[in-house]
Amino acid sequence: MRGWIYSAVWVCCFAACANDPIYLAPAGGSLEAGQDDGTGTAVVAKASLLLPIKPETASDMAARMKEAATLGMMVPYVKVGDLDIEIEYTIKELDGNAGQAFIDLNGANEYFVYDPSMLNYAPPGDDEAPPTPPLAGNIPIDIPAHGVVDGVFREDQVEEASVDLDEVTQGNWNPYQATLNINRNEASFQPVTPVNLTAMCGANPADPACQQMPMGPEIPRKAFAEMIRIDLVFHPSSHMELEFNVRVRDHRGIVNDMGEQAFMSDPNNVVMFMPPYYAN
Amino acid sequence: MVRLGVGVACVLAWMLCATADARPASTGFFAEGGLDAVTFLPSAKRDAATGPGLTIRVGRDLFSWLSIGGYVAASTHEATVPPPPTGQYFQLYRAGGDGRVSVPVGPASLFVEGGFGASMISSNVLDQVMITKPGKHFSATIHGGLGGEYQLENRHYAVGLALDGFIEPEFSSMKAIEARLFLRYTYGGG
Repeated sequence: MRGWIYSAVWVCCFAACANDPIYLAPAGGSLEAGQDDGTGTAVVAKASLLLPIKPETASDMAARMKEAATLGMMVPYVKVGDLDIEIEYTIKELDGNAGQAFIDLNGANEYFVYDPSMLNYAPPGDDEAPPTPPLAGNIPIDIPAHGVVDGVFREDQVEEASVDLDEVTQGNWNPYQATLNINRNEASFQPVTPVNLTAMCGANPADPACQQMPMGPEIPRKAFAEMIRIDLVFHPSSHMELEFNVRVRDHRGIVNDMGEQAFMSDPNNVVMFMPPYYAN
Repeated sequence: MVRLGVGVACVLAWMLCATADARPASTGFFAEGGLDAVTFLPSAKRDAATGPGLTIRVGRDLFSWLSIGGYVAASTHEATVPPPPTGQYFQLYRAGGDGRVSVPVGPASLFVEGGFGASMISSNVLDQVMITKPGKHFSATIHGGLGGEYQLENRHYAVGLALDGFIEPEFSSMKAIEARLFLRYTYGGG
Protein backbone atom coordinates (compact mmCIF):
# COMPACT_ATOMS: atom_id res chain seq x y z
CA MET A 1 0.00 0.00 0.00
CA ARG A 2 2.78 2.36 0.97
CA GLY A 3 4.61 1.66 -2.28
CA TRP A 4 1.45 2.31 -4.23
CA ILE A 5 1.03 5.70 -2.56
CA TYR A 6 4.66 6.65 -3.25
CA SER A 7 4.22 5.65 -6.90
CA ALA A 8 1.09 7.72 -7.24
CA VAL A 9 2.78 10.77 -5.66
CA TRP A 10 5.70 10.45 -8.06
CA VAL A 11 3.35 10.18 -11.04
CA CYS A 12 1.61 13.39 -9.90
CA CYS A 13 4.94 15.18 -9.42
CA PHE A 14 6.21 14.20 -12.86
CA ALA A 15 2.93 15.22 -14.44
CA ALA A 16 3.05 18.60 -12.74
CA CYS A 17 6.67 19.24 -13.72
CA ALA A 18 6.25 18.57 -17.43
CA ASN A 19 6.65 21.45 -19.88
CA ASP A 20 3.12 22.70 -20.01
CA PRO A 21 2.41 24.50 -23.26
CA ILE A 22 1.15 28.02 -23.61
CA TYR A 23 -1.17 28.79 -26.51
CA LEU A 24 -0.88 32.11 -28.29
CA ALA A 25 -3.59 33.40 -30.57
CA PRO A 26 -2.94 36.29 -32.95
CA ALA A 27 -4.54 39.54 -31.92
CA GLY A 28 -6.03 40.11 -35.36
CA GLY A 29 -8.11 36.92 -35.39
CA SER A 30 -8.55 35.07 -38.67
CA LEU A 31 -7.12 35.90 -42.09
CA GLU A 32 -9.23 35.98 -45.25
CA ALA A 33 -7.61 35.75 -48.63
CA GLY A 34 -8.15 34.48 -52.13
CA GLN A 35 -10.77 37.03 -53.17
CA ASP A 36 -10.26 38.86 -56.43
CA ASP A 37 -8.63 42.19 -55.65
CA GLY A 38 -10.24 43.79 -58.70
CA THR A 39 -7.25 43.32 -60.97
CA GLY A 40 -7.68 39.59 -61.42
CA THR A 41 -5.17 38.77 -58.72
CA ALA A 42 -6.09 36.82 -55.61
CA VAL A 43 -5.63 38.65 -52.32
CA VAL A 44 -2.76 37.40 -50.18
CA ALA A 45 -3.02 37.72 -46.40
CA LYS A 46 -0.16 38.04 -43.92
CA ALA A 47 -0.08 37.68 -40.17
CA SER A 48 2.65 38.15 -37.65
CA LEU A 49 2.85 36.99 -34.04
CA LEU A 50 5.63 38.17 -31.75
CA LEU A 51 6.24 35.78 -28.87
CA PRO A 52 5.76 37.42 -25.44
CA ILE A 53 9.30 36.94 -24.15
CA LYS A 54 10.06 38.28 -20.66
CA PRO A 55 12.97 40.71 -20.22
CA GLU A 56 16.29 39.06 -19.57
CA THR A 57 17.20 38.73 -15.91
CA ALA A 58 20.54 39.99 -14.64
CA SER A 59 21.72 36.45 -13.95
CA ASP A 60 20.69 35.28 -17.43
CA MET A 61 22.50 38.23 -18.97
CA ALA A 62 25.64 37.52 -16.94
CA ALA A 63 25.59 33.88 -18.02
CA ARG A 64 25.06 34.90 -21.64
CA MET A 65 27.93 37.41 -21.53
CA LYS A 66 30.18 34.79 -20.02
CA GLU A 67 29.22 32.36 -22.78
CA ALA A 68 29.80 35.04 -25.41
CA ALA A 69 33.25 35.78 -24.02
CA THR A 70 34.10 32.07 -24.08
CA LEU A 71 32.89 31.59 -27.66
CA GLY A 72 34.16 34.92 -28.92
CA MET A 73 30.88 35.80 -30.60
CA MET A 74 27.38 37.08 -29.89
CA VAL A 75 25.11 34.70 -28.02
CA PRO A 76 21.38 35.36 -28.32
CA TYR A 77 19.05 35.67 -25.37
CA VAL A 78 16.59 33.19 -26.92
CA LYS A 79 18.52 30.24 -28.26
CA VAL A 80 17.43 27.28 -30.34
CA GLY A 81 16.19 24.68 -27.87
CA ASP A 82 14.88 27.20 -25.34
CA LEU A 83 11.41 26.98 -26.84
CA ASP A 84 9.52 24.31 -28.73
CA ILE A 85 7.11 26.02 -31.06
CA GLU A 86 4.23 24.48 -32.97
CA ILE A 87 1.80 26.30 -35.25
CA GLU A 88 -1.65 24.85 -35.71
CA TYR A 89 -4.02 26.15 -38.33
CA THR A 90 -7.46 25.62 -39.76
CA ILE A 91 -8.41 26.60 -43.29
CA LYS A 92 -12.06 27.10 -44.25
CA GLU A 93 -13.23 27.37 -47.84
CA LEU A 94 -15.85 30.11 -47.97
CA ASP A 95 -17.36 30.51 -51.43
CA GLY A 96 -18.09 26.93 -52.50
CA ASN A 97 -15.19 26.41 -54.91
CA ALA A 98 -12.72 23.68 -54.16
CA GLY A 99 -9.21 24.98 -54.37
CA GLN A 100 -5.72 24.90 -53.03
CA ALA A 101 -4.18 26.90 -50.25
CA PHE A 102 -0.55 27.65 -49.53
CA ILE A 103 0.84 28.75 -46.18
CA ASP A 104 4.38 30.09 -46.01
CA LEU A 105 6.17 30.16 -42.69
CA ASN A 106 8.66 32.97 -42.19
CA GLY A 107 9.71 34.89 -39.15
CA ALA A 108 12.39 36.60 -37.19
CA ASN A 109 14.94 35.89 -34.52
CA GLU A 110 16.29 38.64 -32.30
CA TYR A 111 18.88 39.61 -34.91
CA PHE A 112 17.02 39.61 -38.24
CA VAL A 113 13.65 39.34 -39.96
CA TYR A 114 13.53 36.93 -42.88
CA ASP A 115 11.07 38.10 -45.52
CA PRO A 116 11.61 36.31 -48.85
CA SER A 117 9.54 38.90 -50.71
CA MET A 118 12.33 41.41 -49.98
CA LEU A 119 15.16 39.11 -51.03
CA ASN A 120 16.17 38.50 -54.61
CA TYR A 121 18.74 35.84 -55.34
CA ALA A 122 18.04 35.74 -59.09
CA PRO A 123 20.91 36.79 -61.34
CA PRO A 124 20.25 40.04 -63.21
CA GLY A 125 18.00 39.51 -66.21
CA ASP A 126 16.96 35.99 -65.23
CA ASP A 127 13.18 36.15 -65.34
CA GLU A 128 12.74 32.43 -64.85
CA ALA A 129 14.61 32.12 -61.59
CA PRO A 130 12.39 30.74 -58.84
CA PRO A 131 11.34 33.15 -56.11
CA THR A 132 13.16 33.14 -52.80
CA PRO A 133 11.65 30.32 -50.73
CA PRO A 134 9.93 30.65 -47.36
CA LEU A 135 11.49 28.96 -44.36
CA ALA A 136 8.80 26.25 -44.41
CA GLY A 137 5.45 25.52 -46.00
CA ASN A 138 4.53 26.60 -49.52
CA ILE A 139 3.02 23.15 -50.04
CA PRO A 140 -0.35 22.91 -51.83
CA ILE A 141 -3.17 21.90 -49.50
CA ASP A 142 -6.36 20.69 -51.21
CA ILE A 143 -9.45 22.26 -49.70
CA PRO A 144 -12.87 20.92 -50.74
CA ALA A 145 -15.77 23.27 -51.42
CA HIS A 146 -17.04 24.54 -48.06
CA GLY A 147 -14.45 22.26 -46.49
CA VAL A 148 -12.44 22.69 -43.32
CA VAL A 149 -8.88 21.38 -43.14
CA ASP A 150 -6.62 21.38 -40.07
CA GLY A 151 -2.87 21.35 -40.30
CA VAL A 152 0.24 21.95 -38.28
CA PHE A 153 3.83 23.10 -38.52
CA ARG A 154 5.32 20.66 -36.06
CA GLU A 155 7.93 21.52 -33.42
CA ASP A 156 10.70 19.91 -35.47
CA GLN A 157 9.67 21.86 -38.57
CA VAL A 158 9.74 25.16 -36.69
CA GLU A 159 13.09 24.27 -35.14
CA GLU A 160 14.42 23.54 -38.63
CA ALA A 161 13.01 26.89 -39.78
CA SER A 162 14.78 28.63 -36.86
CA VAL A 163 18.12 27.10 -37.76
CA ASP A 164 17.59 27.91 -41.46
CA LEU A 165 16.73 31.50 -40.56
CA ASP A 166 19.97 31.82 -38.62
CA GLU A 167 22.01 30.19 -41.40
CA VAL A 168 20.58 32.56 -44.01
CA THR A 169 20.87 35.72 -41.95
CA GLN A 170 23.95 35.25 -39.74
CA GLY A 171 25.63 32.80 -42.08
CA ASN A 172 24.77 34.34 -45.48
CA TRP A 173 23.69 30.92 -46.69
CA ASN A 174 21.68 30.78 -49.87
CA PRO A 175 18.04 30.21 -48.73
CA TYR A 176 17.72 27.20 -51.04
CA GLN A 177 20.76 25.61 -49.47
CA ALA A 178 19.42 26.29 -45.98
CA THR A 179 15.81 25.25 -46.52
CA LEU A 180 16.37 22.20 -48.71
CA ASN A 181 18.72 20.54 -46.24
CA ILE A 182 17.84 19.19 -42.80
CA ASN A 183 20.09 21.18 -40.46
CA ARG A 184 18.18 21.29 -37.22
CA ASN A 185 20.46 18.82 -35.43
CA GLU A 186 23.72 20.36 -36.57
CA ALA A 187 26.26 21.26 -33.93
CA SER A 188 27.48 24.33 -35.81
CA PHE A 189 27.42 26.07 -39.18
CA GLN A 190 30.00 28.00 -41.10
CA PRO A 191 29.18 31.58 -42.15
CA VAL A 192 30.16 32.40 -45.69
CA THR A 193 30.66 35.48 -47.82
CA PRO A 194 27.45 36.96 -49.27
CA VAL A 195 26.04 35.49 -52.46
CA ASN A 196 27.63 37.24 -55.44
CA LEU A 197 24.78 38.55 -57.57
CA THR A 198 26.77 40.32 -60.26
CA ALA A 199 25.96 39.77 -63.93
CA MET A 200 29.28 37.99 -64.38
CA CYS A 201 28.36 35.42 -61.71
CA GLY A 202 24.87 35.14 -63.16
CA ALA A 203 26.38 34.17 -66.51
CA ASN A 204 28.96 31.83 -65.02
CA PRO A 205 28.00 30.72 -61.53
CA ALA A 206 30.71 28.03 -61.55
CA ASP A 207 33.45 30.66 -61.74
CA PRO A 208 35.59 30.17 -58.57
CA ALA A 209 35.48 33.91 -58.01
CA CYS A 210 31.70 33.63 -57.63
CA GLN A 211 31.76 30.91 -54.98
CA GLN A 212 30.86 31.73 -51.41
CA MET A 213 33.92 31.44 -49.18
CA PRO A 214 34.06 30.67 -45.44
CA MET A 215 34.03 33.83 -43.39
CA GLY A 216 34.84 34.01 -39.69
CA PRO A 217 34.55 31.24 -37.10
CA GLU A 218 31.89 28.55 -37.13
CA ILE A 219 28.79 29.43 -35.15
CA PRO A 220 28.17 26.75 -32.51
CA ARG A 221 24.72 25.56 -31.55
CA LYS A 222 24.93 27.47 -28.28
CA ALA A 223 24.77 30.64 -30.38
CA PHE A 224 21.90 29.63 -32.70
CA ALA A 225 19.10 32.17 -32.36
CA GLU A 226 15.55 30.87 -31.90
CA MET A 227 12.66 32.29 -33.86
CA ILE A 228 10.83 34.82 -31.69
CA ARG A 229 8.38 36.08 -34.31
CA ILE A 230 6.13 33.94 -36.49
CA ASP A 231 5.11 35.34 -39.88
CA LEU A 232 2.57 33.49 -41.99
CA VAL A 233 1.65 34.25 -45.58
CA PHE A 234 -1.66 32.79 -46.73
CA HIS A 235 -2.33 32.56 -50.45
CA PRO A 236 -5.25 30.36 -51.44
CA SER A 237 -6.64 29.93 -54.94
CA SER A 238 -10.18 30.86 -53.89
CA HIS A 239 -11.82 32.74 -51.05
CA MET A 240 -10.71 31.05 -47.83
CA GLU A 241 -10.17 31.82 -44.17
CA LEU A 242 -7.16 30.88 -42.06
CA GLU A 243 -7.15 30.68 -38.29
CA PHE A 244 -3.97 29.80 -36.48
CA ASN A 245 -2.64 29.31 -33.00
CA VAL A 246 0.94 29.07 -31.78
CA ARG A 247 1.77 26.53 -29.10
CA VAL A 248 4.98 27.12 -27.16
CA ARG A 249 6.68 24.80 -24.69
CA ASP A 250 8.99 26.98 -22.69
CA HIS A 251 12.02 25.19 -21.27
CA ARG A 252 13.52 28.26 -19.57
CA GLY A 253 10.52 30.07 -18.17
CA ILE A 254 11.05 33.08 -20.43
CA VAL A 255 7.59 33.31 -21.97
CA ASN A 256 5.13 35.63 -20.26
CA ASP A 257 2.14 33.65 -18.95
CA MET A 258 -0.21 36.38 -20.08
CA GLY A 259 0.40 35.42 -23.70
CA GLU A 260 -0.28 38.05 -26.36
CA GLN A 261 -2.29 39.95 -23.77
CA ALA A 262 1.04 40.80 -22.09
CA PHE A 263 1.87 43.38 -24.78
CA MET A 264 -1.14 45.41 -23.62
CA SER A 265 -1.63 44.61 -19.96
CA ASP A 266 1.92 43.81 -18.83
CA PRO A 267 4.16 45.78 -21.23
CA ASN A 268 7.01 46.16 -18.71
CA ASN A 269 7.36 42.43 -18.50
CA VAL A 270 7.72 41.66 -22.16
CA VAL A 271 10.38 42.48 -24.74
CA MET A 272 9.43 44.32 -27.94
CA PHE A 273 12.04 42.82 -30.26
CA MET A 274 12.48 44.96 -33.36
CA PRO A 275 15.14 43.27 -35.47
CA PRO A 276 16.07 44.72 -38.87
CA TYR A 277 15.04 43.05 -42.12
CA TYR A 278 17.77 40.89 -43.57
CA ALA A 279 19.04 42.10 -46.95
CA ASN A 280 21.29 40.07 -49.19
CA MET B 1 -50.51 -3.67 -5.59
CA VAL B 2 -51.64 -3.06 -2.00
CA ARG B 3 -49.83 -6.22 -0.88
CA LEU B 4 -46.66 -5.03 -2.57
CA GLY B 5 -46.94 -1.66 -0.85
CA VAL B 6 -47.45 -3.28 2.53
CA GLY B 7 -44.50 -5.56 1.89
CA VAL B 8 -42.21 -2.69 1.00
CA ALA B 9 -43.39 -0.74 4.05
CA CYS B 10 -42.64 -3.72 6.29
CA VAL B 11 -39.17 -4.14 4.85
CA LEU B 12 -38.45 -0.44 5.30
CA ALA B 13 -39.77 -0.52 8.86
CA TRP B 14 -37.59 -3.53 9.60
CA MET B 15 -34.54 -1.79 8.13
CA LEU B 16 -35.17 1.35 10.14
CA CYS B 17 -35.84 -0.48 13.39
CA ALA B 18 -33.09 -3.06 13.12
CA THR B 19 -29.93 -2.46 15.07
CA ALA B 20 -26.96 -2.25 12.75
CA ASP B 21 -24.10 -4.55 13.48
CA ALA B 22 -21.02 -2.85 14.78
CA ARG B 23 -19.00 -1.79 11.77
CA PRO B 24 -16.10 -4.23 11.55
CA ALA B 25 -13.69 -1.56 10.52
CA SER B 26 -10.56 -0.04 11.90
CA THR B 27 -10.67 3.63 12.72
CA GLY B 28 -7.74 5.97 12.89
CA PHE B 29 -5.42 7.41 10.29
CA PHE B 30 -6.29 6.30 6.79
CA ALA B 31 -5.13 6.62 3.21
CA GLU B 32 -7.20 6.28 0.08
CA GLY B 33 -6.17 5.89 -3.51
CA GLY B 34 -8.76 6.36 -6.19
CA LEU B 35 -9.15 6.12 -9.93
CA ASP B 36 -11.43 8.81 -11.29
CA ALA B 37 -13.43 9.79 -14.30
CA VAL B 38 -14.00 13.54 -14.39
CA THR B 39 -16.62 14.99 -16.68
CA PHE B 40 -17.51 18.63 -17.02
CA LEU B 41 -21.00 20.02 -16.92
CA PRO B 42 -22.39 22.56 -19.38
CA SER B 43 -21.18 24.97 -20.55
CA ALA B 44 -17.58 23.79 -20.08
CA LYS B 45 -18.57 20.33 -21.34
CA ARG B 46 -18.34 21.35 -24.99
CA ASP B 47 -14.76 22.61 -24.53
CA ALA B 48 -13.27 19.88 -22.34
CA ALA B 49 -13.76 16.14 -22.65
CA THR B 50 -14.24 13.59 -19.90
CA GLY B 51 -10.87 12.42 -18.66
CA PRO B 52 -9.25 9.94 -16.31
CA GLY B 53 -7.74 10.98 -13.01
CA LEU B 54 -6.07 9.88 -9.85
CA THR B 55 -6.90 10.90 -6.29
CA ILE B 56 -5.03 10.37 -3.05
CA ARG B 57 -6.73 11.17 0.21
CA VAL B 58 -5.28 10.90 3.69
CA GLY B 59 -6.95 11.76 6.95
CA ARG B 60 -8.14 10.62 10.32
CA ASP B 61 -11.34 9.17 11.62
CA LEU B 62 -12.39 11.37 14.52
CA PHE B 63 -15.27 9.02 15.26
CA SER B 64 -16.51 5.94 13.49
CA TRP B 65 -18.95 8.18 11.63
CA LEU B 66 -16.83 11.29 11.01
CA SER B 67 -13.50 11.70 9.35
CA ILE B 68 -11.49 14.64 8.12
CA GLY B 69 -8.75 14.56 5.54
CA GLY B 70 -6.78 16.18 2.80
CA TYR B 71 -6.64 15.19 -0.83
CA VAL B 72 -4.66 15.72 -3.99
CA ALA B 73 -6.13 14.87 -7.35
CA ALA B 74 -5.07 15.14 -10.95
CA SER B 75 -7.06 14.55 -14.10
CA THR B 76 -6.26 14.95 -17.76
CA HIS B 77 -8.66 16.13 -20.44
CA GLU B 78 -8.75 16.76 -24.13
CA ALA B 79 -9.50 20.38 -24.95
CA THR B 80 -12.36 20.21 -27.42
CA VAL B 81 -12.28 23.94 -28.16
CA PRO B 82 -13.08 25.24 -31.64
CA PRO B 83 -10.00 24.56 -33.82
CA PRO B 84 -7.27 25.53 -33.88
CA PRO B 85 -5.89 23.94 -31.72
CA THR B 86 -6.99 20.35 -32.12
CA GLY B 87 -6.02 17.27 -30.15
CA GLN B 88 -4.54 19.20 -27.25
CA TYR B 89 -4.76 18.11 -23.63
CA PHE B 90 -4.69 19.90 -20.31
CA GLN B 91 -4.40 18.70 -16.75
CA LEU B 92 -6.37 19.84 -13.76
CA TYR B 93 -4.64 19.48 -10.39
CA ARG B 94 -6.67 19.82 -7.22
CA ALA B 95 -5.77 19.77 -3.55
CA GLY B 96 -7.68 20.60 -0.41
CA GLY B 97 -9.29 19.42 2.76
CA ASP B 98 -12.63 17.80 3.36
CA GLY B 99 -14.84 16.05 5.85
CA ARG B 100 -16.89 12.89 5.52
CA VAL B 101 -19.91 11.76 7.50
CA SER B 102 -20.66 8.05 7.27
CA VAL B 103 -23.70 6.00 8.11
CA PRO B 104 -22.87 2.31 8.62
CA VAL B 105 -25.17 -0.25 7.07
CA GLY B 106 -23.77 -3.66 7.96
CA PRO B 107 -20.40 -4.17 6.35
CA ALA B 108 -21.02 -1.21 4.13
CA SER B 109 -21.48 2.45 4.83
CA LEU B 110 -22.94 5.36 3.01
CA PHE B 111 -21.32 8.74 3.28
CA VAL B 112 -21.57 12.34 2.31
CA GLU B 113 -18.47 14.46 1.98
CA GLY B 114 -17.52 18.01 1.15
CA GLY B 115 -14.68 20.45 1.37
CA PHE B 116 -12.61 23.29 -0.02
CA GLY B 117 -9.35 23.52 -1.81
CA ALA B 118 -7.46 24.98 -4.71
CA SER B 119 -6.97 23.95 -8.32
CA MET B 120 -4.37 24.55 -10.95
CA ILE B 121 -4.86 24.15 -14.67
CA SER B 122 -1.77 23.21 -16.64
CA SER B 123 -2.19 25.41 -19.70
CA ASN B 124 -4.12 28.32 -21.12
CA VAL B 125 -5.80 26.31 -23.86
CA LEU B 126 -9.21 27.26 -22.44
CA ASP B 127 -8.43 31.00 -22.67
CA GLN B 128 -9.92 31.18 -26.14
CA VAL B 129 -13.31 30.02 -24.83
CA MET B 130 -13.05 32.40 -21.86
CA ILE B 131 -13.07 29.65 -19.24
CA THR B 132 -9.64 30.70 -18.02
CA LYS B 133 -8.19 34.20 -18.18
CA PRO B 134 -4.72 35.13 -19.47
CA GLY B 135 -2.08 34.42 -16.84
CA LYS B 136 -4.56 32.88 -14.39
CA HIS B 137 -3.89 29.24 -13.64
CA PHE B 138 -5.33 28.89 -10.14
CA SER B 139 -8.80 28.74 -8.70
CA ALA B 140 -10.47 27.95 -5.43
CA THR B 141 -12.39 24.68 -5.46
CA ILE B 142 -15.53 23.74 -3.62
CA HIS B 143 -16.61 20.14 -3.75
CA GLY B 144 -19.19 17.85 -2.27
CA GLY B 145 -20.71 14.50 -2.94
CA LEU B 146 -21.78 11.12 -1.70
CA GLY B 147 -20.79 7.53 -1.99
CA GLY B 148 -20.62 4.11 -0.49
CA GLU B 149 -17.89 2.03 1.04
CA TYR B 150 -17.67 -1.72 1.59
CA GLN B 151 -15.53 -3.14 4.34
CA LEU B 152 -13.46 -6.14 3.28
CA GLU B 153 -12.77 -9.17 5.45
CA ASN B 154 -9.53 -7.58 6.54
CA ARG B 155 -10.79 -4.73 8.69
CA HIS B 156 -8.04 -2.38 7.52
CA TYR B 157 -9.27 -2.38 3.94
CA ALA B 158 -12.36 -1.02 2.27
CA VAL B 159 -13.36 -0.30 -1.30
CA GLY B 160 -15.76 2.38 -2.32
CA LEU B 161 -17.37 4.41 -4.97
CA ALA B 162 -17.88 8.15 -4.66
CA LEU B 163 -19.63 10.68 -6.81
CA ASP B 164 -18.48 14.23 -6.19
CA GLY B 165 -19.27 17.50 -7.84
CA PHE B 166 -16.91 20.42 -7.78
CA ILE B 167 -16.94 24.00 -8.91
CA GLU B 168 -14.03 26.26 -9.88
CA PRO B 169 -15.14 29.86 -9.25
CA GLU B 170 -12.10 31.49 -10.94
CA PHE B 171 -12.45 29.33 -14.05
CA SER B 172 -15.76 30.90 -15.06
CA SER B 173 -17.43 28.77 -12.38
CA MET B 174 -16.63 25.63 -14.34
CA LYS B 175 -18.47 22.66 -12.83
CA ALA B 176 -17.59 19.00 -13.03
CA ILE B 177 -18.62 15.60 -11.72
CA GLU B 178 -16.02 13.15 -10.51
CA ALA B 179 -16.80 9.44 -10.23
CA ARG B 180 -14.18 7.76 -8.08
CA LEU B 181 -13.44 4.11 -7.37
CA PHE B 182 -11.19 3.92 -4.36
CA LEU B 183 -9.35 1.59 -2.04
CA ARG B 184 -9.00 2.68 1.57
CA TYR B 185 -6.50 1.49 4.12
CA THR B 186 -6.92 2.38 7.77
CA TYR B 187 -3.92 2.23 10.03
CA GLY B 188 -4.18 1.01 13.61
CA GLY B 189 -6.84 -1.09 15.18
CA GLY B 190 -8.95 1.43 17.02
